[in-house]
Formats: sequence, C-alpha cells, structure tokens
Amino acid sequence: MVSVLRFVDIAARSEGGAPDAELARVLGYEALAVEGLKRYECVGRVTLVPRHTFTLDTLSRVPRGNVLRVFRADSRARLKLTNRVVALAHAVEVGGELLGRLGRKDLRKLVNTIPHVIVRADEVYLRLTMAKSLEGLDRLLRAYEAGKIVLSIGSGNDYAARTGLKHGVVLAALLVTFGLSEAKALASVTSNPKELLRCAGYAVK
Amino acid sequence: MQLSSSYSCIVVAAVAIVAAASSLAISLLTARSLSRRIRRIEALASALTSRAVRSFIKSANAKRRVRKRYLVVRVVGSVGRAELNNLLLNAVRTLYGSVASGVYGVRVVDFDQRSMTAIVRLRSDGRWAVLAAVGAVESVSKGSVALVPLRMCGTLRKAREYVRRLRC
Repeated sequence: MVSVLRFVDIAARSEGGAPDAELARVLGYEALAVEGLKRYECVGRVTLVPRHTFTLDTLSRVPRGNVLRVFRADSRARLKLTNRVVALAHAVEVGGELLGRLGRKDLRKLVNTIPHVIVRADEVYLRLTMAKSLEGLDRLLRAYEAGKIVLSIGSGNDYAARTGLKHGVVLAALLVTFGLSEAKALASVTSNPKELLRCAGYAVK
Repeated sequence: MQLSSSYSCIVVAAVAIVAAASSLAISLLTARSLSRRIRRIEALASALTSRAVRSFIKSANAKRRVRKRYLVVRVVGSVGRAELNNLLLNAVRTLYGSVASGVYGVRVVDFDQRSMTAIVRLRSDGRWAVLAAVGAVESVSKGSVALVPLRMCGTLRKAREYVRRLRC
C-alpha cells in the first residue's frame, strides 16, 4: 500500500540469513528488529537491528550492548517480572496463552514495571483461525487505548512464508478490527516501535 | 403658586422614584432570566459529554451512504481468479464469520496474470476488516499464497489505471 507512513517491524525473524530488505522497503518498512541477527546492518534504506528474546530459563545468556532485549511470556506462570528481568528487558512480548487470558493483576504488573508490550500478528492470526479466545489481547488493547501501556505489533514469521513480512497497514487493520482507534493502531506500527528502538540505542529517523 | 410648584416637584420626584423602581425591577427580572438562561446553557453543555458527541458522530456515520472501494493487491504465488476469490472469502469468513463475508461484498473484479495484481471490490465500511483478512490469506492458504496490499481506490477506473501504470 502506497503510504507516507514509515513502518517499523519489531518482531521480524530470519531463519538462515537476513530478511529480504528489498521486500521490506517495498512494503514501506524503514527498520526491522530481527531475531537472530548478529549486528546492526543497513541494507538499502532499511535498518536491521538485532533483537534478542529471552525467557525466565535463559536469563543468564542475555547479551549486553546495543541489542533490543525482549522478555517473552507465554503463560501467566511465566510472567514473572523480577528485578533482574526489569533491568534487562526493553519490552515484554505477550504471546501464547496470555493472549487468551491475561489477568487484571498481570496487566497491573506490566503497567508498573515494563509498559512496552509487543504482540506478534502471526500468533493472533493463528488463534483466530483456531477459534481460540483473545480476551487477553482485548484487555491489552483497552489498556493501550487508556494510555497505560505502549503497544507495538510485529509481523512474526508465518510458515517461513514467501513474504514473511506483513504490510504495516494490515497489522494496523488487525488492531482496528479489535476496536482500537485508527490513530493508536497506526502508532503501534510506526512511532511506538521506533521509540523502543531508541531505548535500545538505535535512533531511526 | 408656591403650593402648585411644590406639588409638581413632589409629583416629579414620585414619578422618578417609580421609574427607578420599575427599572430596578426590570433589571432584576432580566438578570434572573439571564442567569436562568445561562444555567440552562450550562446544563445543555454538561449533557453534551464526549459520549453524546461520539454517539452523534456514530449515528451521522450510520446515515452516510456506504460507498464501494477497490483494493489493488499483489498476488504472491500461483493462483487463479476464482481460487483467489475463494481464498479471500474464506479469510474473511475465518476472521469475521459468514455474515460479514456476505455483508462486506468482497469480490475479485480484475485479475492480471502478467503483473500478478488483482482488484478487489469491497464496501467502504469493511475496509479495515478486509485489510486484516488480506493478512490472513497466507495462513488460510497454508503459506502457498500471500497478498500484499498496494493501493485503495475509490473507483474501478482509478484502480485499473494504477494497475496499468504498474505494468509499464
């Protein structure tokens, strides 16, 4: 979609090599946070930023330096935001069961410790096609609309697909259909992930 | 003479007093009515909360004519026109149900095999839903077909012009 907006994909994955930067440019992306990338790269006009996802089990192997560090929680039991996690993580990725059920206290935990939340679109699509509950996402969106958290949405990687990336407007449209306002939905693919990259030490213009 | 002049003075004074009193009464009355009006306006303003404004906008939007939109998409993968139509309908049905798939009026109008672009007609009120469904086509087709939205047009003519320009 031809757009003046410059998108940032905060949850891109590369399985064997860097993602297709040319495709990303055509889709209107100016930066991708890529899981598994060793170091910062700039291909064409697209900035590729390394991203590291860790859980409670892999806390000891978290890299330092300019890497976007994301704490992933896929169940209520795994959402333990200890001081160590809070000190390391730039954002929390909410996925799995948490998208189906996120408690009021879990949300309060997020609001009070790490208010940057990442959601992967491929997980949302998967739950939709399997007709599973998305109450947790709904709660997150309401908190985002109220300004309590900062939400970013990334494409994830679906079926190691031909495109891999999804268009920014498609991601925003997914949030709009859940009842989020258009401005907030567009911010979650443009300004919010940019702010997150800035936290990790990368200034994207 | 003196009596008559003093009498006239008294009359004039009385008239002045009556006039002053009446003007005071009138001004008091007008002030009261003014304050009443102001109170009424304030009550109206407080009633016109953001919720009321929102519902007004919603009802105004509901009365607006629903227009058609034409979405130009690039097709990645080998697929025919009828199959693409089915895939899109399935994606909308998976995400929003059978009613929505009928209501949004999703239909592939044009499909260009050379440039692998398709023009999809939809209702303007379902544009966000159809855009989200475009993203779901990939998972519905189990990764064999992916759609990339290129442009949303208001008329079929403009959409066709855009596709023609893409071909050149």
